[in-house]
Amino acid sequence: MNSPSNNRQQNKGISRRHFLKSGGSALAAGAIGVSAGRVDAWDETQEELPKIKEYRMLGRTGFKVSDIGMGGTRVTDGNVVRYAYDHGVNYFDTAEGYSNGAAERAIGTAMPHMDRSKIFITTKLHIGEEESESSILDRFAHCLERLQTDYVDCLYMHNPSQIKLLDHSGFHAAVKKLKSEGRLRFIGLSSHGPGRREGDSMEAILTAAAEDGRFDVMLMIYNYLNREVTERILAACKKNNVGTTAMKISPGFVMVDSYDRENPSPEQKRRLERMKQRGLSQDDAEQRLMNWMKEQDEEIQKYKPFLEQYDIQNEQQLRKATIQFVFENPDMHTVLVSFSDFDLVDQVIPVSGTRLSSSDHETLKYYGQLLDKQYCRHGCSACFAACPHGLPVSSIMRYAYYFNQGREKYAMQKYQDLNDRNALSCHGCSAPCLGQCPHQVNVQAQLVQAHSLLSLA
Amino acid sequence: MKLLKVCLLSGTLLLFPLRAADFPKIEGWTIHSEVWQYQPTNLWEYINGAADQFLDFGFEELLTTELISDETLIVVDIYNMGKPLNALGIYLMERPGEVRRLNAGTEAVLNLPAQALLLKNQYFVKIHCLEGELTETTGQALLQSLDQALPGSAAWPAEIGFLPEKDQVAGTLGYIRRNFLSISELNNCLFAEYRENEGKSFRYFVMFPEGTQTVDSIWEPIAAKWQAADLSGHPVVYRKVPYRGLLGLVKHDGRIMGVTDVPDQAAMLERLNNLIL
Repeated sequence: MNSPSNNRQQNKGISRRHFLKSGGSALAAGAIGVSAGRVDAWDETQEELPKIKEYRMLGRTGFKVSDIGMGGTRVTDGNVVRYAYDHGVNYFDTAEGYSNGAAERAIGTAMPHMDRSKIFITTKLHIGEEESESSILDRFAHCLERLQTDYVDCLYMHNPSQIKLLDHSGFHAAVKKLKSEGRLRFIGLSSHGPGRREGDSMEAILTAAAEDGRFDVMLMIYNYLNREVTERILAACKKNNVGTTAMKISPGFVMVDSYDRENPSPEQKRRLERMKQRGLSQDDAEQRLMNWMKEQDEEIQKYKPFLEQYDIQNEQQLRKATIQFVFENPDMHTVLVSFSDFDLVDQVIPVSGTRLSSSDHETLKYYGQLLDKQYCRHGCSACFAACPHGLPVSSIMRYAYYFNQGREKYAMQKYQDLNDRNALSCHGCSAPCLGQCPHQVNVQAQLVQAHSLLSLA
Repeated sequence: MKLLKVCLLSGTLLLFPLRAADFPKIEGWTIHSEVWQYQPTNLWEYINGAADQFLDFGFEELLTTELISDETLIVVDIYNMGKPLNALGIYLMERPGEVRRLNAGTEAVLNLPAQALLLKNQYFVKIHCLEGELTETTGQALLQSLDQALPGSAAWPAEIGFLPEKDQVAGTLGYIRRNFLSISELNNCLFAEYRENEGKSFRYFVMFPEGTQTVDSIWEPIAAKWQAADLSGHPVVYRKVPYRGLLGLVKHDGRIMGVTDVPDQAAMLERLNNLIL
């Protein structure tokens, strides 16, 4: 087993990898759900497994949820669900669309090992404007089948683009029927901002839903650089006794390995392969990769003094602080972490119930100041109206975030789905978006970087 | 098609990507639509979220079209997965559990009346019925025609030879590209289940390097993290896997092989020893 000193040595051992944060831009790599890091293997002979230490009331549902919940975007193994449950996690978030239903099936596989009455299961459906009640009922029945349960605690409307969808008649008719049959207890809403200019902002949609009276739980973006908007939503939720759950709790990190031609990192290999698949020669692909890394390295040099001052060696140190930041707010009830493997559960569960120390506060504050003008806030749409090409800026940045979380293929697919509404238009644009960002982010530069990343252009 | 036939007749293993114009002509069936081609960059347009799984398995190209025969309209998807092991991996994931296997290609199955699957070399073929029904006769003939038309050997991927045949439970062979058993270090693992006394079973697996990886570059980070043991001079590392008991790896003869689902260290070492004998 590892000793703490071994762990430190291991961390030092990855010094080849520079890292730091960046915005939710093309530079960002998600903190949660990325490499599991080095932790001791699970040992069932241990007297006491690390357990969730704090539970919070999820608004008017009356259910006390673990302060760390299980996000389902990358979950496909029922044993990992069960492992989280055995550590005290009792909130499980999933969706019909996660891994083509495999995420719901993973929870279903674990179901025989969990006490159904002691867990809170949510799933989500994207609801089309014209979707009928019967179609929603049919899809929900399949969710129940995959989840191997008779009922779902909360059904989310999955990231609706406009406030008017809150009144979707088919959805509410289906919900009424499901509730009367005991197959559904509550409904909720998730949002990470509009995908189109005509869409409504995360704040507008979630606030309207909180005040609507029919929606019991909200899922929203919340992190130390994206707090003002969410805190206004949280106030509306508190006033209406609505449950709250947090996602995308880290703005991300920059990670750049130096390039060793004989031994490229896995990420570098993937990028090279993708470029070659698009017709570039090995030499051209390597040249592009090195140019990109040079740019990143120049960016990193700006932050070196900060990293050295706070002796920040790896992303795990910041991950812990980003979770603790969310814990500080009593109006946020659970933080969702996408547990993709056992080691990540081992690593994150001990953070439950802890708080930022005063020095952590200081670190996060300073870190936030450094990154403030680089992080394009998830869910924000302040610059949309200025864009002459009607680009869904927030969505493009979100796809770049997914890419750096390791969900590269998914991110690139989503980006391609935008067709000509992509950031290629930013090249040569007069950029009326500049100056529109309330945080003074250079939107054009970040979109150009995102395009390069997501299209490997 | 001429080149295809030449290859088949000469018995060579010369492989090349199928082109749309070369979409196999199947006796009794007529091409009813265009032949569409998909690459890794746009596979999602065709199969949406399922594309991720195919891309994980090294998908290179898909040719797809509709074929019609009398009242039966089918879609034939020919996936080129780059190499036989990748095609095997995706085939085993897609293969239904309770269907009869046919003697076509490396293996084929009919899931009547709507679906048929074929594995051959680096190709995975998926057929589904849009109108009418596939029958045993038409399905079998279709699969055999496709087998004849696809280039390359119908032998099982050579890597399977690394797993013992003795006591292997039929139908348990699998190949996982990422996070085998939700352990982030275990990638590109070919595995199968083995029967032992009293109805118990365990799994053997082999882990393959990828790209520029070597056995040592995979082994060293794991060895630095897991517990160590020795097996007659062969290095062994092991850890517990929640709900599965112990998992052990041995480095032997330029390969990394493993066992999981064993109750204790003695059983782990015994089974690893049997594996490398």
